[in-house]
Amino acid sequence: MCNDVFQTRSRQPDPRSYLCSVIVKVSHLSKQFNEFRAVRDLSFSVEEGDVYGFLGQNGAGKSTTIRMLTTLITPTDGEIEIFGLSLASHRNEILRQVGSVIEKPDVYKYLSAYENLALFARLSGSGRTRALLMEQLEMVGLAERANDKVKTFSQGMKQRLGIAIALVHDPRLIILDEPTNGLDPQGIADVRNLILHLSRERKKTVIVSSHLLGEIEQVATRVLIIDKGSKVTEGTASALFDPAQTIVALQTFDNDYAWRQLQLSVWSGHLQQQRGDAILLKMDRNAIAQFNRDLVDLDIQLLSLQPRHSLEDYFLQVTSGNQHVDTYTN
Amino acid sequence: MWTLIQIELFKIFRRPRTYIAFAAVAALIGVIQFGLKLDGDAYIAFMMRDINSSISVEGKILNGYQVCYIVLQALLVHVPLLISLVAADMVSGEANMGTLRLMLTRPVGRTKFLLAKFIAATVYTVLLLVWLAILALFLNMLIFGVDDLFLLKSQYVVLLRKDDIFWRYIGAFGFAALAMTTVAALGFLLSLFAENSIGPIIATMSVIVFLTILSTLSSIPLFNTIKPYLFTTHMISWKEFFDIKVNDANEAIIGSIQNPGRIIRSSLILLAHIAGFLGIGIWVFRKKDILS
Repeated sequence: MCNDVFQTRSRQPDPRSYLCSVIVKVSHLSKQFNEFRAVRDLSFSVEEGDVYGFLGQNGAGKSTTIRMLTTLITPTDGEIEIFGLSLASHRNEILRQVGSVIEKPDVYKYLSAYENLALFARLSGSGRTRALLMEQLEMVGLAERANDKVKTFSQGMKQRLGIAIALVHDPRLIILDEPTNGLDPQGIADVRNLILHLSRERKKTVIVSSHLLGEIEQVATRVLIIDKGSKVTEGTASALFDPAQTIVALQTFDNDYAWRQLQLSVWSGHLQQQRGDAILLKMDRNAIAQFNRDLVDLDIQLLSLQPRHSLEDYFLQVTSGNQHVDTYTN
Repeated sequence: MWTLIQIELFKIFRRPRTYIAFAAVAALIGVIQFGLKLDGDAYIAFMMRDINSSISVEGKILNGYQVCYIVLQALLVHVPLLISLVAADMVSGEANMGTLRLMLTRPVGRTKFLLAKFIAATVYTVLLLVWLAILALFLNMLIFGVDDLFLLKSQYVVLLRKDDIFWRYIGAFGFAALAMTTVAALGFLLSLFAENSIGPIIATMSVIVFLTILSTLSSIPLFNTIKPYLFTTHMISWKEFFDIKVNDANEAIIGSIQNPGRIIRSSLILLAHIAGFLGIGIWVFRKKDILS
């Protein structure tokens, strides 16, 4: 286990000395609210240095999962390990190395930006000097407004202050839940650049959730797509966003039959899932012609075969069933 | 823990809402002082109307101690509302602002977090009563001077000598702090169940009004059974400090209290309520999913 690599002889494990490459390990996580199952049997892992994109439509279970990662919600089932320690039994040790912004960046509006930052620095046990706090505000572009009350700030400024608060104790892991919500294009670009800065310059591990696929596409190194509380797919961004790894949506007269036939064929490794009225496969674009020929040999009666090059198409396809308004094209 | 308490106190005293209670107490006492200064003799005449013929009182009845007693009788009924403005907002207000989730993602245990908040609310309560004492006791002593305290009870009168009064007020304010801390604990508990401040503030006052009515319905045997266990019954036990013991010759025993056991019993019941409210609060909060 990764715990073995803790570089400490003290009784209390110190997350700062954790050297394992897997920073977060989530196993079979579930959350039930009365009759509603918000998250079901979710497993994933985040490696050191990742910008881990957590993608899903509104209500997919992203925020519930992130709240479980930050101990705001208790899981009904499953296990969360962060820095090789169980979150349930080592909450405080772990949270000393975690910074987070959950949904809106709500801070104390009657305090100034500097006062908010200083308050959370003390709360996190970080003995930061005024100079260091001002440096933090400088990083998020708020140094000039340090002494202004937060109630005078725009949404984008509050979001940047929220990120500065998340970073005030120099955490190894940063969790950002929908950080671009409610921001204008400039605010979105600022947050995106901040995430890239944290990952590339400061070598932080970042988990960022969003329902905005374009945002995730621009920052994430690995991506998890979640829908109705379950994992749909997980992989490196380069693999998921690689145009050569084309998603093919297949519609046949009998999808169940087609699924069984494909499982028994050489194409079984390409099968992704069967959702709605389509079977999804992932393959190199050059293999599509051969696949088409093999469908005839497998006695699969084809209705349509649609290669999808855009991740958005893919995202919408794998999270199908959530469309509330008919699609129109210009 | 000390850092947490300091942070909570910092937040309380940076909010404008906190000072509403201090301003309200100052305004109410100011109005009473103004009225009694202008027309205090008429008030005393009205108070003494039934016993003027049988008792002759020398000295200055309308003195600082008397005014303080009048203020306490009038205000201690309303102070719970001012206490609940802050106490019932301690957790629900943070949930409403969205800062609760930010606080709880820090490396601080929920029990410690809640205890720090409650201690801060208690400090606020005590400071409000200190403020009340400064204005109602010390300021009135300056404005109206000091003399013996003459109190009309339902079946008898009490006359306390001026050098035997000050310590009684200290005891009464100390007891009032305990009673108001009970109100704060109730408001604090109710604030765990809401995500806005108004609900818990109204709920706290409703519970106090409801229980006070039950406490006063002495003619119904059922209510008499539960009355000793209601904290509202014991909140007025500060008045016991102003009942003096008498000897066989019906002379007052200086420095005595008629029924100290009643004060102790009331204090213990209030403490039990505080512990109960806080214990339930911690139990609920440790299990609570933060969805705000």
